[in-house]
Amino acid sequence: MNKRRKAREEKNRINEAETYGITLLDIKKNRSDNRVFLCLVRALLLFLAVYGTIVGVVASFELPFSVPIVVVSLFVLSLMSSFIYYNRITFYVGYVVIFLILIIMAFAFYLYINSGFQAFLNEVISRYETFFSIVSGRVAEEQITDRYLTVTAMLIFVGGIFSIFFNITISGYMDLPMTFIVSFLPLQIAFYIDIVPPRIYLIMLVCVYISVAVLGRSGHYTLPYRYDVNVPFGRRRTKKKQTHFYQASGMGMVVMLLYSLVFSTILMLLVGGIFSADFSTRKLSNVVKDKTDKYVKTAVVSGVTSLFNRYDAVGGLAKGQLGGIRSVNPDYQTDLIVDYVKTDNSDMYLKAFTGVRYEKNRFYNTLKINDRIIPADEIISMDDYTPTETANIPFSKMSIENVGADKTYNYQPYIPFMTTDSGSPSKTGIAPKRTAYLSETNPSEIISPSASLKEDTYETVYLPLMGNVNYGADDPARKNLYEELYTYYPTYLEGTLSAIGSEANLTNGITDKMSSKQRTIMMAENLRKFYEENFTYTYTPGATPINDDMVEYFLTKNRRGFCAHFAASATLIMRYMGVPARYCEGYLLEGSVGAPLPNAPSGVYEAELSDANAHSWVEIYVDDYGWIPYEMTPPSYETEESNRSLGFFGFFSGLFNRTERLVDDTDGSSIANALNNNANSLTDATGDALSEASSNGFVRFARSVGYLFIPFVTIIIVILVVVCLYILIKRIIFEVKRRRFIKAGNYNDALLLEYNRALKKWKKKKIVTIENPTVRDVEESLRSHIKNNDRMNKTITEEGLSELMDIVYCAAFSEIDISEEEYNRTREFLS
Amino acid sequence: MNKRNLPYLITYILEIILVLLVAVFFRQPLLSVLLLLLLIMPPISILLTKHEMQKLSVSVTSKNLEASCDEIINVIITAEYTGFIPLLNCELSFTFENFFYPHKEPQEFVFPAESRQTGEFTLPFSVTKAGMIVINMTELNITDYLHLYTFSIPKEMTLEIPVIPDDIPAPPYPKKRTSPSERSGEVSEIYTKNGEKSRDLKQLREYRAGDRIKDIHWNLTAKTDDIMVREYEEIRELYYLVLPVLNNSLQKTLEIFVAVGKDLIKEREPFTVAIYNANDNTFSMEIVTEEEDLYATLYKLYKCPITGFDNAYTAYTEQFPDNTDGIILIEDGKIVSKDN
Repeated sequence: MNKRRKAREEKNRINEAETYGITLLDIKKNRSDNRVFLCLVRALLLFLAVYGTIVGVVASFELPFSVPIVVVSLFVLSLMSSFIYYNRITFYVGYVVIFLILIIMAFAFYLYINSGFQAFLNEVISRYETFFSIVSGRVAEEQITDRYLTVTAMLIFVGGIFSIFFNITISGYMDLPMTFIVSFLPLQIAFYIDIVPPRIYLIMLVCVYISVAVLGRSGHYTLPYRYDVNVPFGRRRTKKKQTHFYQASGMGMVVMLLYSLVFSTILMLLVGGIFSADFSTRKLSNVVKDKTDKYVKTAVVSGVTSLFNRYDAVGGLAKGQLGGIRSVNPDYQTDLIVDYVKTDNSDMYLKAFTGVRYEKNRFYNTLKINDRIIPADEIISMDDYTPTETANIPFSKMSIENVGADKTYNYQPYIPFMTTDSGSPSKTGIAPKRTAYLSETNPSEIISPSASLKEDTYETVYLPLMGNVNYGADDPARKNLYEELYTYYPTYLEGTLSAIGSEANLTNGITDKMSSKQRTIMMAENLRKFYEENFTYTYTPGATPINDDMVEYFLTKNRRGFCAHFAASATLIMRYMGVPARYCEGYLLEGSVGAPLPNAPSGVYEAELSDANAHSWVEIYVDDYGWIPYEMTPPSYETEESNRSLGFFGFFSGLFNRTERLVDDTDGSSIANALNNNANSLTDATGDALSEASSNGFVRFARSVGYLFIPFVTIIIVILVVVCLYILIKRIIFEVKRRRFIKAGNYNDALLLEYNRALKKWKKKKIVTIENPTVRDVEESLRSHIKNNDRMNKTITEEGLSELMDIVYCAAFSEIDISEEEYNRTREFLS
Repeated sequence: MNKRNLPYLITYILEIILVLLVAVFFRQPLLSVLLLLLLIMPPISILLTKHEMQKLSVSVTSKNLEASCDEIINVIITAEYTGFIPLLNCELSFTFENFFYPHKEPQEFVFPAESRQTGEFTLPFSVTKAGMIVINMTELNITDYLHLYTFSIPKEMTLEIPVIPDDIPAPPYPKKRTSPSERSGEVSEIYTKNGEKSRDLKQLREYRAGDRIKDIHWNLTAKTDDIMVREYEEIRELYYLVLPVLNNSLQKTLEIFVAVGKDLIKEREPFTVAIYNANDNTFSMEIVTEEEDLYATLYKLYKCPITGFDNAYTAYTEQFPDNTDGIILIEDGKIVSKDN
């Protein structure tokens, strides 16, 4: 207790004594708890926590170390840590001393500790690479290769740090959640990839959890350093009452620790089998696990620090925000419902966002020219042509219902198509057209876009097939504007774009004889091929360092990414090459998506698009055609990340989305296949459950968490068996005793045996409520019960009761032996 | 279930939910075992506590039967526990107060019942004022290990410890009356149990609890198997009546009361003490012949309600108009003369 508090308490007491004539002083105990003893017990608890956690993790990876040295060192460190709370002075000095010891140790044994840590890291990375089938190529350098030595040094050092953490959570707060987190997180290094530490460490930890829960919740074992060592009871005053509480009980703590150890050992023996059991449902993943896997893989591949970078995978519409995206909230619900006439299996874009100006990590849909900001609508109106004649153009009609998509955009459909007139390779994705909208009053009239179209449902027309449409590209003024707007790129990227242009050899195959549009398409095709051959599509591209440009990092260092990376970088590369280009975002309506709309004319389809269908692509300006979309994203073997990325509201819905663990590269497909097979075998096991289960999230969920119940079932069975055995043995012992008495002719003792059993029964039924009743008390209770109970009244009268209780009284206190008849009569009543 | 268990219950449920969520998402066997542990611990904790609490008995005693001002009263709480698993949250509710200064602030004493140990806890009360100290134990609450459920056992135990006022010299008081025997020149030598002087032996009878030792007829006792005592005729004529008025300067009034009482006893003057009960406007008359009686009367005085004492003297004169001579009225910490 500090001086101020002490003075305040003293003042309160004086006031109390003066006002009320009485005050309660410090409460004393016959055996005061020795603070040294308390610190020793606490050290034991700390040691179990530190050893169970740190050594448990290292032992999981089968790294060699010296057990005796580690045990002794960690216990000494735990002892030092626990004695920090001995008193105020040790508290203020203790942490400094321990930190100094650790710092000196770090300097003195730097090479050993560092090498031990690197050895551990190498082992962990190696196991993770095997588990996830990824190749990170990261190998930490072990300057000292004797792992037995280095791992031991590392364990002592890390153990010292953890002893401080645990000392705060256990000695300082005796708090279970905090203790659990400090121990659970390191253990996850092993558990995450299904490596189970040896049982002994788990027993230690479970023992610590139980002890901390029990001692912590009792509220008497935090032992703050502020309290006087010699004052066994603290005092808390509130307006309503005063509480005098004991500060700690050394023996209580030791005994609880021992019981916890016994209990945790029994528990682990009973349910420990779950650790070695191979439950296939555990391999079924979920959105949270996938997300965590992604971060884990990123950490394995790029290091833990990469997790702190701000760049993240894009899902849904990013609106040009390519760097530091954290606002993706896929809800796994429909964004757009599209009704359309399907002519072939072509993919179709529904464009929402057009990126014009690129600044670091972001495309803007506005442009600043001569200090004038041109807004998006104006730019689009400049871009968009409305066909003046519709009669000769085979327009198709589409109805778009905006259910959950961003309502600030019109989603304009258009189709990429195959062209042969460019003279370039035939495989080129080109869309020929602009979108126009139907007049509400006259459906045959085509009008320009207007704000009123941004309603929940609107109809639009588009060109399903290529046609010779004049897009106004021959208008010199328009062409100049395009070139001014859409060939801009930040100067700091010039070097990168130039280097990539050279590396990709974009002008390969272009001859002077080619027309402008042929050259443009040729360059775009060369870039697409370059991406396909040299870059990897992945939904886990890793992080962009915080000060790096996303495009620069993607092109020069990472070379891994998804659609936004490819589209954004391609836009800037094309601009560098002098081709007007722009970055687009929207939805991709794949040809295979959609189903015939019921009760509609043949050929009318309906598709529901969600965040999973969000996409980015490039539009390049081609003479004679105008803006055409170009797909720069190489094909991938995985689902777009947006399909499964995690948003707050999608958190729980993700539970019901069954997915398999995916791998980053095609080489690792064996694992994916294995998991697929595993999933399939699960399906086989339940007949045709896959199709059924896929439509029933709850069933899938129940199956996937079924493993949780195995320990419960085990425990329930064990409890039932123990209870049954207990009852059986109790009955057998009773019967043996009774028969032995009767055989010896000792009816008195036999009757008392029956009486004791009956008394317990009466107490349970609240017929007898007195704590330690005499025979006469029991008789009185029974008599009043007989009076109030009609049913019993029929079987025995008050006189009969007196007679029977007299026999019991006689059996208990008299030297006269009761007869067999009396025994039988009374027994009948008692039972 | 106690209201104070609620926060613990809520946090426990939150902990379960948290582990459940992590277990559902990450599907690790350790989490499953922890979940099991979290779920089986509450019933174990509650049932174990219920079972073990039967083995705990708590008693309260005091070393001091009475105390003087500025003395420490040591109250001993003895917790005898025969169980093997310690009970970490035993809580005894009690109040303590001086009857004259009511202050029933609830007190809670939380102690551990250690395995097969008898714990003795000394509650030292510092008393500074005369009066009846009442320490009243009301309830024994035993909370389970996880603080999820509290078992309440009524424990009605009351300790009454009188605190005697400081000794002071008796102030001068009016000595006006003479006894009938004195008036007739006889010497009073024998005091009856109730303090009256008498020389007339009423009977010889067997000893009863409460009889004074000096009344035992030793010769007769020696001849018979039973202890025989003398019983005298009672003569209800006393010379002094002390009327303490417990209003202002209470402590001083009590000190004077004891001092005067002792002085009268020293003078071998039995006297009556009129204890006023303002609630029903009645007086109880206590006859004091020796110190034992004086303190018994003092303790009765300690227990009487002290409100409404201002009218004590008026009430007395109204109720006993013929018996106003020789009253020693102690009021406002001094002896007040009303003879005029």
